[in-house]
Amino acid sequence: MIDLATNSPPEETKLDSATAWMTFDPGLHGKSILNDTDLTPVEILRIVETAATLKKLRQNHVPHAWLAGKTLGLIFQHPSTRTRTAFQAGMEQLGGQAIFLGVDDLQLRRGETIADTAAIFSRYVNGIAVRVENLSDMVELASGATVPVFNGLTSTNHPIEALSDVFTLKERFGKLKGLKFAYLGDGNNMSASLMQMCAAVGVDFAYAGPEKYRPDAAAIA
Amino acid sequence: MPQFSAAQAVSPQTPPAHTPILHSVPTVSQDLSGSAMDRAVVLGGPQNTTLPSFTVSPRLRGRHVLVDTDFTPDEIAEVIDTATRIKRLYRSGQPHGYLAGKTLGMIFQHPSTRTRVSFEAGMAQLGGQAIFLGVNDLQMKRGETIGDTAQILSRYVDAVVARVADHNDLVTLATSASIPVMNGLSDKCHPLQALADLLTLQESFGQLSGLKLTYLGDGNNMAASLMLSCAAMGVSVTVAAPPTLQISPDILTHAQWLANHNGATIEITTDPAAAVKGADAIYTDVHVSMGQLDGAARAVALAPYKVTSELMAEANPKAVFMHCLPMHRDEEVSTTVADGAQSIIFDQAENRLHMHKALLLHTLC
Repeated sequence: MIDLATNSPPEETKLDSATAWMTFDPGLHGKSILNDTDLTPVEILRIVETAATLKKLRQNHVPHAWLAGKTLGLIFQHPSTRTRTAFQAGMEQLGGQAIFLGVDDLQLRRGETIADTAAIFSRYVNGIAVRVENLSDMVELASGATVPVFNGLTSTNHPIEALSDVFTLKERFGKLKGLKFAYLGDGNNMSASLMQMCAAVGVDFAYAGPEKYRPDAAAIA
Repeated sequence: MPQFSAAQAVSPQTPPAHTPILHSVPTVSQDLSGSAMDRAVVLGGPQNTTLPSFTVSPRLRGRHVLVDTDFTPDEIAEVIDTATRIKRLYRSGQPHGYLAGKTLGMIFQHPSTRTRVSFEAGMAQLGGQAIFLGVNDLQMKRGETIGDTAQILSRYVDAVVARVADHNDLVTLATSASIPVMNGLSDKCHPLQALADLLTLQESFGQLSGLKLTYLGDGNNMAASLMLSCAAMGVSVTVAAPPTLQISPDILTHAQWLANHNGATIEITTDPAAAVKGADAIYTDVHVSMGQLDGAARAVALAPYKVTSELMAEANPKAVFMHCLPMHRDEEVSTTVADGAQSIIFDQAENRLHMHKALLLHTLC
């Protein structure tokens, strides 16, 4: 799916060179990821493949600073360890920089609308990762933005976690189709995202949990 | 944005044919010591083939930007020109990491969206880094003097941008610092916003001299900066404010003097309808700013100065609406104006980025 073949030496040689190179399908250019269903199954598989290549580059200490001069804004209403550090470290490894803004840093409290903040951010940074309580705030933010917006967790879903989980499954089993995934516990945002992401890539999903903590009907549908 | 590939990222960039040369002075970039201060600094180009050639004059090197009157009209024109060129590089996706290895310290006593994010993103785009220090990060609360803090920061970073409540603190900071200090908003003035607004006006009208800008509302720090910066560039300014919230007399005197010498006029009135007649730009700011306790009284006094479609209709047909943001729709401006075709507020916000980058290049080159 990723076009690594065009005029390129075999993969092993490529990783030895000082500057590896990679070709991307531009189909995802400028695209926001707010819901699990924003990505088609093919796009999910492409992202997983790209992630695998980048992981290999990093493990082999091959520089891959392809986002030099680019910045990612992080707008976080809630504290975060993994999402924040992974995005910030990831941007650094890609040669760019990340700007973290916690809730106290923003003027949202001063009555500026979320859409205005998003419009202004879009003039300064190249992408925005957002952690907010309500998915509707995320959608409002994305509607004001002119750069890609990434959902860094809402109370409804957690698509980026589900994407990386699919990547982990692929690494572990070498395939996705035909696997069976069982989720035990709270039918929360995480289970909703996993259910949709697994379904998209052909992983059977089974949920077991108490009656009152069942996943949202909307997510199942 | 171009589709990226490593091949593209590592290939040397050819300087574009249209890259303008700012000055006619000789560009001897190898000799930057002592006597070469009157020459231009060439960044990129043959010296660093991965970066397009870019020229700035070094006469603002090491300078502070504390108040609007720190720059002569000539120097303001120069930073506007640099901002225009750096914006063009940014828009065309060309690398411009001319400040690699440089660090900007950011001391912020108040929250900020535009000033902070535009400086941090700007430094990143210029290849350097920014260190943000909010009020909780600094030890000033633990009794370290501003002067000591400034001296120590001067040993670590290459420039400081500070947002302080009291302008005197900023002056203390700059006096003790041995690096450029920029005013990221004080109670007295907001020169970086005014400079960015001049860039926006220049883009909108193709020139500055002869324009008329009308400011409606509180005669605050923003109004003071606009008055001084515009007057210096030959832009006439009319401020319509309630009697209780007029601009301070010393600013007014200074602005009058600047206007007289640069072919502009300064008018002060309490009548919004008269003020907007013939205006090319109508500007306003929030009616109740952060931390103001007399909010209700201010809101009442300022209500007649709200920018409405009716007032916009009294201005020139091509007039633009400007606001330094954040904005409260239907308080200081009606939603129809704020989101209407004449509004250039987001261009203003974007130009903060380009102006900050230009100032960083000029002061740190």
